[in-house]
Amino acid sequence: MDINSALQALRDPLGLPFFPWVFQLLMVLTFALHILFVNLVVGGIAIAVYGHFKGGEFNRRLSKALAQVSTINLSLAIVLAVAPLLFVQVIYDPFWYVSNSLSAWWTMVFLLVVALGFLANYVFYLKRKNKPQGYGLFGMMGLVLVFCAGIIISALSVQALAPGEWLKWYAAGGGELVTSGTSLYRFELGRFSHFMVPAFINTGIFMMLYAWYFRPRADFDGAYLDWVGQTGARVAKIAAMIQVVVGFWWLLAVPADLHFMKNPFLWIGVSLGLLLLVGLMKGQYEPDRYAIPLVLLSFVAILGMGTAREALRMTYLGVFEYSIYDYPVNVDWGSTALFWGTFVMGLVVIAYPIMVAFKLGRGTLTES
Amino acid sequence: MYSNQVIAHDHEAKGIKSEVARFQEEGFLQNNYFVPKAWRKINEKNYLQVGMLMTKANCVICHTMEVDGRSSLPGLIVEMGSTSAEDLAACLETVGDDYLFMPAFAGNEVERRAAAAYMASIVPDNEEELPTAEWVLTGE
Repeated sequence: MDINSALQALRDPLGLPFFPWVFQLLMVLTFALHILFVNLVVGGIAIAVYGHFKGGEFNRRLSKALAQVSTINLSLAIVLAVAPLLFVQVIYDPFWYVSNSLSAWWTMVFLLVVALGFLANYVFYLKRKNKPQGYGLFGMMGLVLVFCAGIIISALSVQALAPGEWLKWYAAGGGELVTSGTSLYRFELGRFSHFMVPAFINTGIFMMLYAWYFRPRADFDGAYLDWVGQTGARVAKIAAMIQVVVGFWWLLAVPADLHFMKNPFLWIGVSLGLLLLVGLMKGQYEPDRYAIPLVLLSFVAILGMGTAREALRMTYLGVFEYSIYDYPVNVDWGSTALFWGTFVMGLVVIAYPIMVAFKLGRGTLTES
Repeated sequence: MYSNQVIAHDHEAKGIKSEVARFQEEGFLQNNYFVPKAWRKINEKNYLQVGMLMTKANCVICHTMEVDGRSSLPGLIVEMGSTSAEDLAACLETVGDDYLFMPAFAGNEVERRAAAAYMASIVPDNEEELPTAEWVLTGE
């Protein structure tokens, strides 16, 4: 049996309960939402830790705000990770399953690392209320742990793209089976960096949004908000410039024989990224005014990059004659109706409290 | 599908074919990508290693291979009182029928004997019951 036939055999024998392109669209969309919040967590904790150690009134105040919001963002990042993870398991199950089995120990460690990172971040946020100078170590610990979680999940994703290597990893030297799951076999720093550097783009834009959001509040100092908005715009702009370099670094690491350079989705993603950089150049002079347009533009750029990432995955796996569009389909209308019904209902139910919380926090909620 | 991920039965409505029947007829080693190339054909040098692979593929989802492990395979074999490879091969032939709570063994005759040889080898103080390579390969 060769690897191409093995990949077909590893698919779910029951087939898909709905058409693969629907799962693919939802996977790209929900991954974009997930990685946005991952970016806000990494960037938020990093800037909070930096502000804590640098000191000064504005830095300390921003550090507290970012540490607090990072706990919420981490919750959202985890919740929003479930959806793309499930969609991957539906249409790319052979790849994700094998990669996780080969490095099973790390798959388990990932959960522990995220939980400990969460706890460290909570200590960093809550304990400084009474002792503002202390607990910086917990912030650093939270940042390192979140970073480690990213490294593990990035390695598992890259391993999933290399079916041609699996047997070498599993049957090391051809004589022993490696069933311990304690090794990570492949990691691409360029790819990982391309997910991490945007943490500072999106956290910078988030800081611009923070300044815009709290502007109507009388208890917020205008000079502080100006500083946060301008600092955010500067951080985002510098990170976006670095991201352009990192993007090409990753691109050069993609095997040339895949001809990914000719893929139109890549250039759509690149164009959106460059458009965001132009937007950030312009936005740095008026952070409040450009905050909302830049949030939208950044999300569109993330979607573009996410689509390019999916196109790259299809290119990698096309070598093994694997296409999700060939997956057998046995439509299950009951579970599909339940999914969409609860999805729409969830959005309706959550929309009102979000609107109230938004106005309440901004100080614009009126009795009417 | 059994807990060891082998498809147990045909399911015509979904176009699913039993893997147990196929593996018992054609062999597991030839139908599984995750078998080192040197192990795809059983010989007198590799039969114990292949037996380990067959045992792990079929049994390790529930049983540990250590004497004091959880649901220990060697422990259960000692309890059963039949520690010879011949008895174990006969037992493997009937799991799934006589022992309904266990999956049917997914492998052909030679693969079953290799698994039995490995199982006998992990039972403590069982040197006298170990089979020859010839028995694994030919059944005699």
